[in-house]
Formats: sequence, structure tokens, C-alpha cells
Amino acid sequence: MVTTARPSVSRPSPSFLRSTGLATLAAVALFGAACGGSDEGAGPAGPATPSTSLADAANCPLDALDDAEGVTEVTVWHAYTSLTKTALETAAEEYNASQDRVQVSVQAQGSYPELLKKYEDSLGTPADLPDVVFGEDTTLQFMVDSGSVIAAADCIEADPDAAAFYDDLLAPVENAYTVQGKLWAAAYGVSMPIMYVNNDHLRAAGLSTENYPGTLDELRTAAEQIKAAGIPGLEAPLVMQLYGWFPENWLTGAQQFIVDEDNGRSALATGSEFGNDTTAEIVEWMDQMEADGLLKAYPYTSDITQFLALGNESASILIDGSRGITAVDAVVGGASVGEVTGEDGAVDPDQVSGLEVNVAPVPGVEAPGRGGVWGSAAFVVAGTSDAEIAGGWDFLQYFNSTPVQTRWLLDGSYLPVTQQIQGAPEVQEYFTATRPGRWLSTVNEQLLSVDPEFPGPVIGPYNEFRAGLHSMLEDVVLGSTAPADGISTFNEQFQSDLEDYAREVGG
Amino acid sequence: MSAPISPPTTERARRLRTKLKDAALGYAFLLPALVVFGVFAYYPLYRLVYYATHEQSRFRNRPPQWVGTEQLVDTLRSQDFIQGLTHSGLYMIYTVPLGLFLGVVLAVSTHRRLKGIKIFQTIFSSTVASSVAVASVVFYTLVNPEIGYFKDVAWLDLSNPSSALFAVSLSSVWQNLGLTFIVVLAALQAVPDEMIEAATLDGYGAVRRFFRITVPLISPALLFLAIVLVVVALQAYAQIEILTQGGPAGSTETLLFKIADPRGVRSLGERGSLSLGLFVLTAAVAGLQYSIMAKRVTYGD
Amino acid sequence: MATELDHTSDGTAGSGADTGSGARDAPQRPSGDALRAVLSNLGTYLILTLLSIVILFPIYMLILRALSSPLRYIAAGQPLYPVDVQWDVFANAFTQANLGRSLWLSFIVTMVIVLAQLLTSTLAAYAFAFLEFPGKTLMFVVVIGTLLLPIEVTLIANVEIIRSLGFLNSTQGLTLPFLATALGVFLIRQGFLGIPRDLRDASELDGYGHMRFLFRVAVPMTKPLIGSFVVISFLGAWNQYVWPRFATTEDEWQTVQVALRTISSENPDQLNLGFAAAIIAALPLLALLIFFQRQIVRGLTAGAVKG
Repeated sequence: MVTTARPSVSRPSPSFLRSTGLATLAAVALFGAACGGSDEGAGPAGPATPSTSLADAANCPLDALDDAEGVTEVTVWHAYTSLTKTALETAAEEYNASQDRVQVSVQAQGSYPELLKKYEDSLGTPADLPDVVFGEDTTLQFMVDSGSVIAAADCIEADPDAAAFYDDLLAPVENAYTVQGKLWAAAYGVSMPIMYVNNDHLRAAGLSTENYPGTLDELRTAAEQIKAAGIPGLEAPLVMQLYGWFPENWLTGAQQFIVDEDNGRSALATGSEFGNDTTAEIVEWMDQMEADGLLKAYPYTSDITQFLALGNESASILIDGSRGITAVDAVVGGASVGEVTGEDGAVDPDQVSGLEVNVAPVPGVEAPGRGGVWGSAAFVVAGTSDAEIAGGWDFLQYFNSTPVQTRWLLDGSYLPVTQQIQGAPEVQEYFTATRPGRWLSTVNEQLLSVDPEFPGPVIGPYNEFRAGLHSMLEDVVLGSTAPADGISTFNEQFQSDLEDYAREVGG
Repeated sequence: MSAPISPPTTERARRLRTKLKDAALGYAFLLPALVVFGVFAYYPLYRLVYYATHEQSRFRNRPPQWVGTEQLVDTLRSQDFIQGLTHSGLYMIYTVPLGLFLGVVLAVSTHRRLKGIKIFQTIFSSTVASSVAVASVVFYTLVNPEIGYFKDVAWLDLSNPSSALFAVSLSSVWQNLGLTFIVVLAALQAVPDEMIEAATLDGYGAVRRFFRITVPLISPALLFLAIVLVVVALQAYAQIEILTQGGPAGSTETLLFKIADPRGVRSLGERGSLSLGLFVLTAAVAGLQYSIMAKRVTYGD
Repeated sequence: MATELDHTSDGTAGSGADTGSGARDAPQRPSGDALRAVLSNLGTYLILTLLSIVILFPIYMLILRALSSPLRYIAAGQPLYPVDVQWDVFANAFTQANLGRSLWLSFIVTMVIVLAQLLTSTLAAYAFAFLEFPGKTLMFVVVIGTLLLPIEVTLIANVEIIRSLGFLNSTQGLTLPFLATALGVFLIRQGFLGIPRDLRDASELDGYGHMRFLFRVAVPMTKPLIGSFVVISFLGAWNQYVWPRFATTEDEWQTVQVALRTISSENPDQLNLGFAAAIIAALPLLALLIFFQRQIVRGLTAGAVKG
């Protein structure tokens, strides 16, 4: 915590300007050599467009840790809750106990948008920034443009020992976190949308429990049949949150761009491609489903209300993220016999829920299971000291070790990101032995079938995009706005946000 | 106090010295408060104007650039501001009249000599012990769309843009009950017995007694409450964040919520402009309240 | 309520008789009247009970949901009785959610604010009430003006100021903007102005300087009003949400009101934890309400009701 007063960076006095003018001339000459963070408060200017596809080890001063005196303190920011949060905290505790050069402190920062906002607010005062940040997937573009994070590629160059892990990364994961040819994120938490189904309800409606609906149209047909079956207590066959993630996943699965420049991958995206036919199809589908009583839609919050709907059988099918697997499993009644037997060894009937819930690939626009790689990823922040950068990287390498990743998978219901983790015995056993494990293994198959050449979008003005998208979905599905109007209004705003963003990046 | 006989100049000098000492002491006593007000009330006002008239990149990668009043005017003309204003206004409309009415009902119903009336009075004043956050969590158990006890009540639906704001405002109404009850009851108790008795003797019925005698006499307290409730309504934030986080479709985003912008969708310049809008709103409300109060005072109280 | 019900009055339609410990000088009523009196009181009791239920129902719900296991409670169809009671949820609120630290922090912050406001307001009020200095009216306007600049209006600017001072996530950050308040200056000045002129003159004769007069005469004489202000100040500081929410970015610097939200949102699968935390958070104020009822009532009604 800094206690000395610091002049507000946005109000330079004339004499200050004069002296900075001279200093700048000198600095420009040296600019090429050091691309790290400055300590003046303004991040280094410029977008990533100058060719940086060559990894530069100089950006990642890993030796600083050896040279550092005393303990280096590393702060990690994240937006996880419940079990995932504890998993990260446990990993940090174990890391701290296993060596004495680095002390990691893990700090929850609320929800993903709040985390991003706090991060953004701190850009003007680098001392307030963390050393490692676990941000949401498509905030990647923002991280890159902020100039405040160090590309994983640079650190891999500087740390040959780490190459093994990164070479082993599944292609879709690697491509998801690669912008303009460079890998930016250093650690991952991969999740995808998935479909949870109540087999009993499906049977009652005369539907197959072997072949689940694979497209939006099939899902609609199935929902109609479930509704017609008149299951007591059912409010609507399908339940989901109006979460922007789902349309993004559907669009990506249909290989539809959301922004230009190859979804922002080959250059900074400045144009929206969101207002296309597939988007219209998706939004209309959601609106019609809700209007016909086939879909119960909730505004997006961090609650688990939609899980509860599945749990108390007011819905038959839930579309949500794979991270919810452990929670859904708990809600519909644990499956492992150990929890279910009472003290006398008899099966406790109260514990065994009558719900037979299964997980299936999420229906797509054209085919099931199509989508992208999503979730969250960790970035190394440029920070105020080289030792902290090195410490952060060191912690992340510990985090990437197979035992820690295995627990990350088990507790957070994340997916295995390298071949080695995929094949780890504990993981393989989990995939077959328990119900949540079997569910996760279905998601894993979905992951392995993702087209690595079409990663999802990277969007600069990320919070605005998501907030606007949520508002639009709520307006259309829960309110009375027509889909076409909603989409076009949102698209206009999004386009303007993209342009503002590009201007701000330009410096 | 008899002054000793002394030449006029010394006397004046002494008086002058006392005056200077007083003035110095006056400012010394004022200084702490003035410093706080200066740094945390007036300087921020200047900063708000600065934010509203400058455009700053979210990356802080260059100094802010002057844009004049363009940004301010655009923001104040935008749907965002108008929506915020509307929702703040609606929040006031939902909470103030209902709050006053309920407070009066509660106070009147316990303003009588009855065995055990004190218990009821304690119960009615109990919500004053609830903070905004507690009241919001309490209402979460009642109106949350999936787990709320009243989730199926249509006009309390938190997931419907047309009913969400009202449902959220009810948490404020509930929380304000304690305060309004205490104040109105105290006001009722201050009404002189003789006036009521005189009115009864004059043949006034209970209702007429109430409206012709009691209400005018407690009206200063009602006015005071109205002012407090309006201010409280303008400060509404925690309820919104805990119950709906601004949704659905921004229907519960009051002006303050948009300024606070917990999800970071507005630029600093926009938020500065919105803050200036809130400043004008606060001033307008204060001016209105002041003029009503002034009128009341001139009628002798 | 401790304020004595010292006037009897029937503001609403109802019996013209006052019952209970009624007037002894009234003539004996015929039994028909007595019966009517009891019946109409029954009606009043009924209405009062109904109103009480409506007001207390939300609290009851909170207690219910805090005690019950969330999933089981929903599965049981949300009955009006606890389901699968988890008594350790209250302990968990302290161990898992660090509620103890939040409560302590709230306490410290509130104390600092109340004491500081008391000090700055008393001094400023004295200056306005008893001292003459050039620009007095202007200064008064300056103080009034701050009523138009509450923390809600100046929020984003003050966050940046605190950030640039390095006081984000600190007690200083949580308290600095609130060390003085116009309301305090007004109230106490009002009290000071009520001190009779003779008393002032007498003190001057006795050789009392301003400081002595302030602490030996002025403050003691306005104790009730100052007490009222302390109540208002305390309630305001304890209940703050917006400022602590944005003046801190770390969980461990959250005051109890902000912590309530975080506990609920960071533990969505353990909703009863958030509810239990809310109950615990309400207890301090509830205790104060019970033990300091009179002062609290007086504090809240200061300025509203004459006498």
C-alpha cells in the first residue's frame, strides 16, 4: 500500500511538461530496447499491431527472482466463487508452503465485469495493479491493448523449462488465447456451454434419452413435446440465463464472425459483424421460445437460480456452463454412494434424488457441440518490479503442474488443457467413476471436437459489449422489444463502442 | 461591564485585539470542517467538471484531452441520462407517498392507551435497526425470481422490466417504516390534548378531528419525513446492486447506479457528466424543499 | 418504546372510550358499553397484530432461510418452517466469510467518523454561534453548499482522490470524506444559539475564555442535542454502503454492509450463509435500539418535532 501522496497523473503542470519533453526525446531512443511497463502511470502507448509475433524474452525478466532479496509478494486477482475460489486459494497456499522466495496472496474481486473494471481503473496507478490476473476469456484484447500484461510467449522464450507444458497445449486452447500470432495467457480455466437434461422428463414426453436434440430447431420440438406431456410442477421445459456467452458460443459454432479482422485475431477489430442473419435467427429463437412458454429465461446474475429450476423440476433442460457441473450435481442430489449411505450403511432415501440428469453436447445452430473454447485465463502483469513478474510466472508454472491442474479440474469442473493432463490417471478415473466426472467427460469430448481454426472473438470494449448484449436480450426476451429492433440498436451502440475503443488504443 | 477609565485609543486597540483574536479563533475552529469540505466536496465538484469536459482513454496511455461541453451535453441528452433520471424519479414516487402513508397508519394505530401497546410500538419501529444492505438481503428472500417466497406475484416480478423497479423500491419502503413510524408517533404525541378535546366537544367526528386538527399539527413532521425520504431515495444503491444489479434491461438503474457503474461500461467523462446531472437534480430537489419549508415557516409554526 | 405515551388521543374512528389504565374520574359505564369497548379493542388488537405480522414477516423469512439448508428448503416447497436446520451456519459466517473482521472494521470506521464529526461540527458550530469574523456569512453559505454535494454526487471524483493519495483499502480512505458534516454544524449551532445571553455574559465576567466556555458551559448545556447528533451520525456511518463499496478493492477491507453482498455473491451455492451474515450484521443496531431507544428516538425526531 503506497502511502506517499502522488500527483494526479492527469494534471501535469507547465514545468513538468517542459522537463518531460526533454526526457521523452531521450526515452524514444531507448524505446525499442525496453517494452516493459513505465512507472509514470501511463501504460506504454500503442496497440499490438507493430509486428510482435516474434516472442521477446527480454520482456520477461525471470532472472530477477534469483537476484531478489527477501520475499517477493505476488498478488493474484480473480473472480471465482465457491469451490473454484477455494481451489485457487489452496493452490496458492501450497505454493507458498513449498518455497520461500515468493508469497502469493489471492484476492477475489467480485464478478468478471467488476474485476475488469477494477483492473482498468488501476491502469493509471500501476502500484494498484495485481501481479497476476485471471480474467475472462475475451477480455484478452483489452489485456493486450492495455500494454500492462506480458505475453506468455515472451516468458516461454525466457523459460525453456516451461516449453513442455505449452507445446502440449490442445490446439483450440492455444488458439483461443493467441492474438496476432502471439500466445498471451499463461494459465487457463477452460469451460464451455453444455446441456443438462432430466431423462425422466424426456421419457415422460416420449423422447429418446440416447439421441438428445442437436440443433436449436430440434430443441424446440423436444420442448414442445415435453410441454405437451403435462409434467406436474413444470414451469417451462427449457431454462437458461440470458447470458451473452450462449449466443457468442452459437455464433462461433456456426463459424460466424462477431467482429471483423478475423474476429479480432489478425488485427484490432474496429467493425461489428454482430448484426447478421445467424444472430437474428438465434435471438428470434430465444424470443419465440419464451413467448410460447417453452423457455424460462432469467437475467444474467451470479446466482444459481437456473440450477435450482432443474433441481426442483420446474424445468427439464438447462443450458449452462460446464463449470456448473459440481453445483448441478449437488442440486439434483449427489450420486456417489459414499455420501448417500447413512450411518447404518443403508442408503438414505432422502439423499438420493429421484432425478436422473445427464449432460449432452449443447445444441448448435446447425449441429450439436459446436462452439468455442471459453472460460478464464491468467495473465502476467507488467507490474512495478521485475521480481514480481518472475514470481507471478513461477506461481503460474506451479499452477500448471499436473497435480494442481487435476484438482483444478475436479473442484472447478474445468477441462484438461494439455495432452498430459488429459491422460492423467486421476482425470481418467474421474471421467468414469463419478457422475459429475462422466458429465465432464462428455464436455471434454465436446472440447476435443472444437475447430481450432475458428477461435471465438476477442473484443476490446468488452464490458460494454456484454452489458449491452445482456440488456438487449432482456429487452427482447423478457420485455416487448422486437428482435430486429433490439439487435440493430445494440449493434449501433457496439459499433460506436468499437470505434471509441480503437481511438483510445491509438493513443 | 464597566470599562476602566482609559484613553480612547487603548480601549479601541484592546477591542481591536479582541476582535482579531476572535476572528482568528473563529477561523481556527472552522478550519477542520472547511478543509474536509474543500477537499472532499468542492474540489471534487471541480474534478467532475474536469472529467465531463475531457476525454480520457481507458488505458490512461495519454493525458486527457479537452473536449469542451460536447461530451457533457451529449450525455445529458442521452437515453442513458434520461432513463437514470426517470428511474430515480420513479423510485422517489414509489417510496415517499407510500412511506408517509404507512408511517401515519402505523403511528395512528398505536397512538392509544392500550395494554401492551408498547410491544407493538417496538415492533413497528424495529426496521430502523436494519441497514440498507440487510433490508436488501431480507427482500432477496421474498422477491428473488427463483427462490423468493413471492416470486410468482406478477407485480413483484424482478425479472420483468416493468415491475422490477417497484419490487426493489418496496425494500426501501419496508426499511423506512421504522423511521416514519417513530417520527409520526412522536408528532402525534406532541399534539395537545386540549385541542382534541375541544374538537370533540364541538362535535367533530373522529375522521374530521383527524384531518382538520391532527394532520395540520403533524404536518411539519410529515414535511421533514418527506424530505428525508426523498434524500434516501436518491441515495438508493445497495438495494439495486443486491437485488437486480441494475437489470433486467437496465430497468432498475437509477442515476446513481449509472454513475457508480459497477460493471465499468461508461467512460469517466460520461460518469462525470452524469454526476453533474445528479448534482443539478440534488440542487433542484433541495431548492424545492427549501421553498416549501420557507413558506411553512412564514405561516407561523 | 421508551417515550412515554403521555397523551391519549383517538385519531381514528373507533371507540370514544379510553380503556386499560383509564381515567378514574369517569363514571361507571353500563355493561353494554364495556362489552363494546372490549370488542372494539379486540378489533384494534387484531389490526395491530396483522400489521405486526406484515412488518415482521420479511425478518422471519430471513431467519428461516438462514437456518434452513438452501437446497432442501426449496425442495420442500418453501414452507413456513425451517427445513434441515444448519446451526453451524452462523459460525461459518465468521470462519468462512470473515464476518468478524468486517464487523470490527465497521466499528472502527464508525467510531472514527462519529468522533471526528462531533469534533469538527462542535468547533464550527461554536464559531458560527459565538464568534464574529469577517466572511462569516460566506463561510456559512460554504457549509450549506456541501448539502448539495453529498457523497453520491462526488463519488467518482472522491474515489480518484483517495486513490491518488494511496488510501484505497485503508481506514483513512474509508473515513476522510466524512470527517465533517454540515448537518452536525447546523444542529449543534442551533443548540448553541439556544443558550441564554445572560449565561454567556456571566461566563465572560467570570473570565471564561472561549475554550473554557465551550467545554464547561456550551457543550454540557446542549448535551441532548449533541446526543441526538451522535445517534444520527452513528446510524449514517454504520449503514454506509456506496462509499465503502468503491473506496476498497480488497475483500478484507470491506465494511460489514458491503461484506453482506460479497458473501452472498461469492457463495451462491450457500445462500444460507449470506442470510445468516445479514442477521449477524443487524444485531448490533438491534441491540442499540433496545438499550438506547430513548436516545435514538430523540435523535431521529430532532428537527422534526418541536418539544
